[in-house]
Amino acid sequence: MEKQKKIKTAVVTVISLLAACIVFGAIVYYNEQNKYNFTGQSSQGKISLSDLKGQNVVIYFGYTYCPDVCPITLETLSKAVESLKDYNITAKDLLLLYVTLDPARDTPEALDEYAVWFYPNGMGIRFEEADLQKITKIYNIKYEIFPMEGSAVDYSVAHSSALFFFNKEGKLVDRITNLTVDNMAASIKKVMGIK
Amino acid sequence: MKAFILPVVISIFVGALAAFIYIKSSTEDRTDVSREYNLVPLECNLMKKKCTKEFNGQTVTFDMSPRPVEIMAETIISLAGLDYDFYDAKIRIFGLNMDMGTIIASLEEKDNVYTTKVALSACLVEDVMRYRIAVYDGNEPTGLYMDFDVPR
Repeated sequence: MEKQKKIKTAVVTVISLLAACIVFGAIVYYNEQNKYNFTGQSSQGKISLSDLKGQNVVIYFGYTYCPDVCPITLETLSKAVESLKDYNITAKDLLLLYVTLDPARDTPEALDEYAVWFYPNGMGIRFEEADLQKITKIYNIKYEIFPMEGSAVDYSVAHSSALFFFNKEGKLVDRITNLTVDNMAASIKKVMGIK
Repeated sequence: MKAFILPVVISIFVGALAAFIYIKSSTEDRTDVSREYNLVPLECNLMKKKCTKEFNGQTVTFDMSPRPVEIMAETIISLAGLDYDFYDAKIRIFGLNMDMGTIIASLEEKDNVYTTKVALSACLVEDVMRYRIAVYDGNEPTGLYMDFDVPR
């Protein structure tokens, strides 16, 4: 009788632990698969990252009044793609989503124009401020608005620079903060499964 | 049956709670240092010349080229005189007076000199941005670092 009770306790303990692990794993896995997804405003209407499955996507956070870092980053991305022409890779193979950190001034149309000026296959995305704060926290992007007295632009947005590469399955494959041509090219190859 | 269901239900609840705590903690703001507004002048400014640092009884020389460093221009950072048994040699570069994220770059060793190529890419508004180059072994700081100022 005592032995039977011990076995029963052991079984209940194992099943309980298993249940806890399965629930933990399932929630963490679901979150990992979906945490980078978002729905923002594009010039074509609302769009989600998950809508873009089937395309390789790179995401950059900037704004259209950005004077130096954003244009140079997008130009560097173009150069990185050009450097891979031997692999038959063109900008058509990698869609750029240019997410604004300045929703008060940027429209999706203006973002499109800005992105395409520097990178041929670009699309602008705009969030409302509250959503932007949540998204940037998930992507670990820092930004801060600084007033610029006496300047025609009123304020500037200081921000970190990073590129996020998603493959055709919508999975985050690489995140880089050292934005050199070589690093970008390596990430593009990675996202396209080229070794 | 009751003695079976109750522990399982509690376990499911605990598993879910642990998952939410884990997710929340993993999405907290990650930063290497806090803001440090009161910037004291540097003993040696890497922007102007090579700088040395004593580390584990060694004199490590930091250098960067070309000078002056420009935002988004590819810059080579080198460390000479460092004898360290790295598993995964990296540097992290981050702002001390402004947290605009961290640049992570792998170091390559040749002839006892570690080098890497970086593009300082933070979009800044401070008059002077003080950066720190910190040497890491994988995700672990080695304790070796060098600060430098980049004027806007």
